[in-house]
Amino acid sequence: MSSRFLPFLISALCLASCAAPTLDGQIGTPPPMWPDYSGVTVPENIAPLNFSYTGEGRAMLLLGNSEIFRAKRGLFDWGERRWRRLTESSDTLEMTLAVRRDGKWLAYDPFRIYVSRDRIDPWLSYRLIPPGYQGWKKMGIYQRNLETYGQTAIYENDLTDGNCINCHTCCQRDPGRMLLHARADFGGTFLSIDGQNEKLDTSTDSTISALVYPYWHPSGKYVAFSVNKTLQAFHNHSSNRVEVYDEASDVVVYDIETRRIGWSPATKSKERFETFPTFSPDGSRLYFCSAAATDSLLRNYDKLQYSIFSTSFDPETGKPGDTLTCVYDAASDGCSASFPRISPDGRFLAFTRHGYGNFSIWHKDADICLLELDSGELRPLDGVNSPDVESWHCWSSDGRWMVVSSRRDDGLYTRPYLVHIDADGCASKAFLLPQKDPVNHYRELMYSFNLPEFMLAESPVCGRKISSVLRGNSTKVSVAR
Amino acid sequence: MKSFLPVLLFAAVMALSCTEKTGSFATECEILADAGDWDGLIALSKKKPYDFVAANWCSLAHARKETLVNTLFDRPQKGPQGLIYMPEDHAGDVRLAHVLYAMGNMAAAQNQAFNSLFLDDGSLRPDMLWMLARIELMRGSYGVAEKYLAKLESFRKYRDRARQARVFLWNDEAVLADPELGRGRRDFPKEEAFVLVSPMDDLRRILEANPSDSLAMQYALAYLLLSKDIAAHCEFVSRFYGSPALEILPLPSQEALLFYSEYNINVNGDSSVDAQWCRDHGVLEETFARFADFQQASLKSGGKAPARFRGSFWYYLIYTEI
Repeated sequence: MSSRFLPFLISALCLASCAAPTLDGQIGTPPPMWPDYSGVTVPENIAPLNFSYTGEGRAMLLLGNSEIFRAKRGLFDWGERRWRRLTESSDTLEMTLAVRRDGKWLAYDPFRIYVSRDRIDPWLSYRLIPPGYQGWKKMGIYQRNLETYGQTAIYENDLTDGNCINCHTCCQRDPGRMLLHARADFGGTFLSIDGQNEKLDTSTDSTISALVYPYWHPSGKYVAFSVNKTLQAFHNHSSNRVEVYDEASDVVVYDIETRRIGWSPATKSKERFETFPTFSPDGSRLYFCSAAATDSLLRNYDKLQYSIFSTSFDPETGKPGDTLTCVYDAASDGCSASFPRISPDGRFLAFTRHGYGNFSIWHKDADICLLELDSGELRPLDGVNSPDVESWHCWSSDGRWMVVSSRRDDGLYTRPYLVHIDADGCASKAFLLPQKDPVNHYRELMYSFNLPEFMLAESPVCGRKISSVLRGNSTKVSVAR
Repeated sequence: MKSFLPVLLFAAVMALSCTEKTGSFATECEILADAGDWDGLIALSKKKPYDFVAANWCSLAHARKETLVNTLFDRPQKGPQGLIYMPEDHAGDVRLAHVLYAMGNMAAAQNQAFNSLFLDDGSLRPDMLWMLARIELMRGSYGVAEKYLAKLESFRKYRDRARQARVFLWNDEAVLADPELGRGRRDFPKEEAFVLVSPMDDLRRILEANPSDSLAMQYALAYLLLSKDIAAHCEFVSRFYGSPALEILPLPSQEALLFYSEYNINVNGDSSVDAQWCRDHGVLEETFARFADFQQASLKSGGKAPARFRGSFWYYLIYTEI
């Protein structure tokens, strides 16, 4: 055969192999696949949503009416080019999963993936830590490029002899202004602002602990923190397994320029436990959770219920106001609220609602709720909630996306789910953070994703820099009198 | 002061040996426990007779052989720490995981196993992963159990048992029918509480939930005896005697009942626990006779410890400082 016919022959063979085979029948059920990406809404710039067919037999996907896409050992690996072509050309990807059985191609129910032109912030940071209990060996804070599968370490604790590191958070999702805490050896708060790094010793005689849960003021001049006396106990039977509770807590504000901690009677009182602070997007109000102080918590832990309050905040002086406004009286609703976070447009307050206490990652009933601040209308965020835990959440910079920690997959290992929120605050179906081979990736991973937060760019600070600062001297913070 | 010297010396030796991290000894014990070689574990633990950690391994092996209470005073004892020694720190402790698992305190065992799951280099300990997989099956947390079993299949030693254990996934009936997993599932207390506030309270709740658990029963009796809490021991026997795991009262428990009966009548003037009550709760005539003998010997010795009763609860109660 003349070699000049070869290209034609190859093309013909390719066309033949891509031609859609005839479907011989319907199965009549949704396709068994994991992750379940049917009906989800994804941003156009997300990494390819690879998934696996989890049933028996060979599988293929029919895309639209003509294109076919065969699974390799059950895995549908889109590849960057194909995925981009599909998501750029259509807002709705229609597909049918078919399997070969007894020489016939049988089709499951068709499903869709919706593509949103609301782009997602391209980076996600999180801590990877074993989902237990008291001990750990290795943990780290990582960043993931959401447009690819690339993950790199911001900091791994083997650089400081395996100590605990936590509460990494950025100002307005800008990784150039970030902080994290280190505990035990080399303990302190690492603060990085536009390339200037320092370590703070945040314990004072007037506060019950070093600084704990942070939230940056939008100006970048202040960070609100809680201070907490936290205890942990283990249930003998409850599916909640672990109870983490505060014996006391307050909310304080750290002034970055003066290195001073301040508060008001509204944020720090012996009669109440205040925690989980957050600022309004315009920086004029400070929100936080608060519960009536309770004693004998080993017995009364399930009676502790936190509501959401706010007070004014003066960005000039950095002082919280003295008067409290109840934003959501969770206790009167017979429940407890954690992690208030306000949408960037200031309309919605998202929080975690659960039966009692404040450490909702161990509470199976924990769900994300949305409170419309003007109308006071409250609703569970149905698209993202599951029968298992939904807890920590973070808004994207445009308020169209949210990342939520969820334990829905196996009940223990926390994974990040991304969800589209429309202008009315309605959530689409959430989708699991994509991976190149999600079944194997998540099955192999023995770590939970902790505190997922969006970032606008890759972190400019490297682990070695953080380590050298943590190993160095710390600056003592003082109290504003 | 002179009379306290041996006690102080004993305590000092115990304290020193407990702070000592003997990697090879611990590793050997862990291997023997994982293999279920209880005789080997008893032999090894005898090399460290004054060590709470070794005593825990020894007690575990006896509990597994169902000889814990009957042999309790055949070896030196220094309180309930010989059953379960809990250091202040929260470092992973494979020994504690095994002990709590044997006690039926699955939530606490799970915590310890999880804390011990990772080695310094971040790699997994398959023995602890195997324990976690079984506890997740007991809990009915099949998603996590499946994850662990899949992981265990990559370890040659655990491959077969992990594959075989897949039969239990999403199969409550199979779990309940399995002797070990069924026991564990029944052991989860019905009364909700936090674990390890008091090991004895945990044991009691476990036995209220599953009075057939002979391992938990042995630990409970041993704990009360080693604590010298004869009133609580009597109350416990009153509650559980005749239950499937306590159809026969072990000898040290008989001895404790007789002592309590005598004490209660003579000191408190309370005869509710009299000889007949003791007979009705499993005390044998031979034990009555030996108790009379012990009382005579004690009187004759003028306060000195009668050596021939060294292996009895009475000797431990009166002559051993804890």
